[in-house]
Amino acid sequence: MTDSPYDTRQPLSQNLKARLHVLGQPEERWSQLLLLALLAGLASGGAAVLLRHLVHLAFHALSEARHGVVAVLLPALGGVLGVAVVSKVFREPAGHGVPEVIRAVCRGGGLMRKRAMVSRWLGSLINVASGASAGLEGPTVYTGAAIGSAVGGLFHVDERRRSVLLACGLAGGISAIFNAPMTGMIFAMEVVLAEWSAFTIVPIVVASVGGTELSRLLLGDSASFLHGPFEMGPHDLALCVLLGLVAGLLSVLFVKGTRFFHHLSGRLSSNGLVPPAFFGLAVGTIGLLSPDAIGEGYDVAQSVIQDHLDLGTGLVVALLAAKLLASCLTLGSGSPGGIFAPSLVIGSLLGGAFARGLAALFPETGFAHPGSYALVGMAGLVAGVMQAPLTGIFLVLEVTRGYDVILPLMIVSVISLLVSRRFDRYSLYHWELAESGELLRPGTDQRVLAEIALRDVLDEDVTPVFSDMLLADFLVVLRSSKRNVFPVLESGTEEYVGMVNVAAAREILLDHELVRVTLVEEIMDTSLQPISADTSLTRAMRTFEEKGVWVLPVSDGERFLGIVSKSSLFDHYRRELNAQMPE
Amino acid sequence: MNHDQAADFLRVSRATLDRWLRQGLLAEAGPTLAGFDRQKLALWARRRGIVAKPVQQTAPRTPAHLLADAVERGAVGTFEKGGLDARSAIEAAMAALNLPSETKRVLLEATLDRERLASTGLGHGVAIPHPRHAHPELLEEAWISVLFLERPTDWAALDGQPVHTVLLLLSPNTTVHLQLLARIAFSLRTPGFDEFLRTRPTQAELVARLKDLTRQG
Repeated sequence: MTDSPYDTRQPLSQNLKARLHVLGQPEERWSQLLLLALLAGLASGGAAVLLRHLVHLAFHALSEARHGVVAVLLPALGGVLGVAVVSKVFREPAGHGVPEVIRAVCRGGGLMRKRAMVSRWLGSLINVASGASAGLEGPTVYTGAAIGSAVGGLFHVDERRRSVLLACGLAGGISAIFNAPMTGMIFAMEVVLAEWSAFTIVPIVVASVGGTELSRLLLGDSASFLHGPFEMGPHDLALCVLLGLVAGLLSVLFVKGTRFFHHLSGRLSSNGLVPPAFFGLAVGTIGLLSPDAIGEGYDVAQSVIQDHLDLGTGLVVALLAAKLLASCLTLGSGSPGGIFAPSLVIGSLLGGAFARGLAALFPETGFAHPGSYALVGMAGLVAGVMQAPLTGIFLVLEVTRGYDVILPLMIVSVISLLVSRRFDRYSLYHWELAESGELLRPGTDQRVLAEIALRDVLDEDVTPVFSDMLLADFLVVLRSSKRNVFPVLESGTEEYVGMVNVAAAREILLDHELVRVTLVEEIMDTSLQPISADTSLTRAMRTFEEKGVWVLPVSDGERFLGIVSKSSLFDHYRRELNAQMPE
Repeated sequence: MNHDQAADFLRVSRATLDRWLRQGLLAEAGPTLAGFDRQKLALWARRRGIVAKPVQQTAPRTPAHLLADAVERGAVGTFEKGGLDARSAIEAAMAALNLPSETKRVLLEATLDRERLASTGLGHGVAIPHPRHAHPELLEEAWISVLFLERPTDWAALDGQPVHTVLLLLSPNTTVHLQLLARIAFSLRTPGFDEFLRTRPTQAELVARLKDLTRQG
C-alpha cells in the first residue's frame, strides 16, 4: 500500500480531505471538465472565426494589387513570411501541424507549447491571405488544440483530461470555422483521439456546440455553401461508384504530389525559407494564369455547387489540375496552411467536371444537378486524403445542409477511402507518426508497451553471485532463494559476466563432489548480453522472443542493475492495458 | 508450408492458428486450403510484430564418446619420478599434449590461475585441473591429458586423499566442459573405476574402458 495517497497515521480531518481530493465527487469532476471544455471550445472558436475573417479581408484587399509581377511574387513572399513567422520567430516545426497535434495526444499527454496558440494562426494568416493554395483548417486545428491544452494546463488537470481538452479545442475551432458542430466533433474523434467513449464524446460535444454558437453569434447562422434542392436518382447513385474511384485516385495523387514536393524541398535547401520562395513563385505563376486556382478557393467551390462556373469540361479539368498543382506546391513547401480547403475545392471541381462529362457523353439522359456531384466529390476527396470517411460525410453534410445527397455522399466517401488505403496504409496526417513508431492509440499493444518503462519492470531484488564462487557456496544461495536464474558478476569489478540457469546446470549442481571443485563461472551462460535500462519494451520483447529466453540482464553500461523477466513484464502489461482501457 | 508447419513457424499451437484463421486475422497472409506461402506468412508476422521461428539452427550434437574421444586425442602417461607437486604435475600433463607450444603456454597460465582460485582435487585420488575461461579461439575440440603419478601428491583434495591421477581438461566451450565434468563424475562413481585407474592403463585401454562406460550410461 505504498501508493496510498493518505496516511492512516494522519488526523482524521486531513485524511478525509485527502480522500476527497483523490476520489472527488464524480459530478464535480464532470462539471469541471465540461466547463473547461466549453471554455476551450469558445476560445478556439473565437480564434478560428477571427482568423477566417481577417484572411478574407486581406485576400480581397490584396486582390486589387494582384497584377503582373506582384501576382507572381505575392504567394512566394507570403510563404516565406509565413514560414519565417512559424519557424524563426516562434521556432516551431513547419507544415500544417496536424501531425504534431496527434503526436501530443499519443506521446505528450496532451501537452503543447503555449506559443503554438499563436504561431500557425499568424503564419497561415499571412500565407493564405497572400494567395497560397491552402486552407485555414489545419492551422485552426493546431491553434485550437494548443488553446485546449493551455486551458487544461491552467487548471492543472491530469494528462488524460488535458488530451481531451486539446481535442475539445480543435473541435471547437473546426466547428466554428465551418459552422459545423458535428464535423468538429467527428474530426476530433476520428482523426485525432481515436478513442470513442463517454469520457471523450461528452466534453467534445460541449466544445463543438460552444464553438459553433459563438460563430453563429458573430457571423450569423448560414451554411458555408449555398445550394439548391438536389435530387439524385438511382442511376446517379450507381455513377457515384465511379466517381468514388476517381476521387480515391485523385486523393492519392494529391497526397503523393504533396509528399513529392516535400521531399524536393528537403533536397532543395536545408534552409526552410528557400522552398516556400521557389514554390511560391510557381504558385504565383499559376495564379496569374488561372486566378481561381490559388487562395483558399471556397468561392470557386461555391460557384461549382451553384453551377455558376461558366467553363466547359476541358477548362474545369484544367482548373482542377492547376488547383491540384498549386496545392501540392504550397503544402509541400512547408508553409503554414491546411489540407481541408484544397481537398474540398479539388473535390468540387472533380464533381463539376464529372457532371459536365456525363452531360456531354449522354446528352439525352437526365442527370442530377452538377452541384450535387460537386458536393459528393468534396466528400470523396476529404475521405480519401484524410482517410477519414466520417469527417468527409459530416463535413459536406453540414457545410451544405444538403441531406438530400446523403446516400451518394456515403458511397463515394467509403469507396474513395478504400482506393486511398490501397496505396497508403496511413493518411497524410498519420503517415509520419506511423513511420517513426509514434502513432500510439490508447489500448493498443504499442501504446501499452511504449508507456511502460523498462525501469518499471526491472527486478532489482536479485541475488547476484560471483564468478569465482564455488558451486558448493552457490548452493547455499540457491537454497535460500526461490529463483532459477542468477546473474553472475565478476568479483572485484562487479561487472556482469553471465547468467546461471539452475535448470541447465542441474546435473552438475546435484553432484556433491563436482560442486566442490567447480566454479560458478564454469557453468554460467555468457551468451546473453545485458540490455540497457533505456531500451524500449518493444525492443526488449523482441529480444526475449529472438533469444528464446525468459530473463534478460539489465545494465546501465557499466553497472549491473537487475533483471527483467517476461513474466513480470506480462504482469505489468495486463495492468497497464486495463488501466488504459476506455471506461 | 502446411497448417501444422505454419503454426510451428509462428510459434503458436495448431488450435491458435485455426482460431486466427476462423477469426480472419490471417486473411492478409493469404491462407489456402493447402497452407501458407512462407514468404507471405513471414511478412504478415513482421507487420504484426510477431517474432516467427528463426531458420532452424541445428545445435551441435554431443558426440557419444565425448570423454573417450578427448582422451584419445590427448595423451596418457605416467610420471615416474617422485616428489612432484601439483604445479609441476600440471606442467607435465600439458607438455604431453600435441598442441602448439604457444597454445600450451597460454592454457598452462590459465590452468594455474584456476588452481589458485580453488583446488580441483575431486576425491578418489583424482584431480581435474583445467584453464580458467573457455578458449574457443585456441581449441576446436576437447583435449584430455591423463597423468598417473608414481608417488601420489597432495592436491588439497576434498577427501584429503593424495592425488594419483591428474586429468587435465581443455574444453573449447562451457557446454563441452560441463559435459566432460559430468561424465568424469559419472565414471568415477562407477564401482571399480578408480581401482582401474590405479593400474595405470595405457591410452588404448583407458579409451576402450570409457567407451564401454558410455554404453552403460
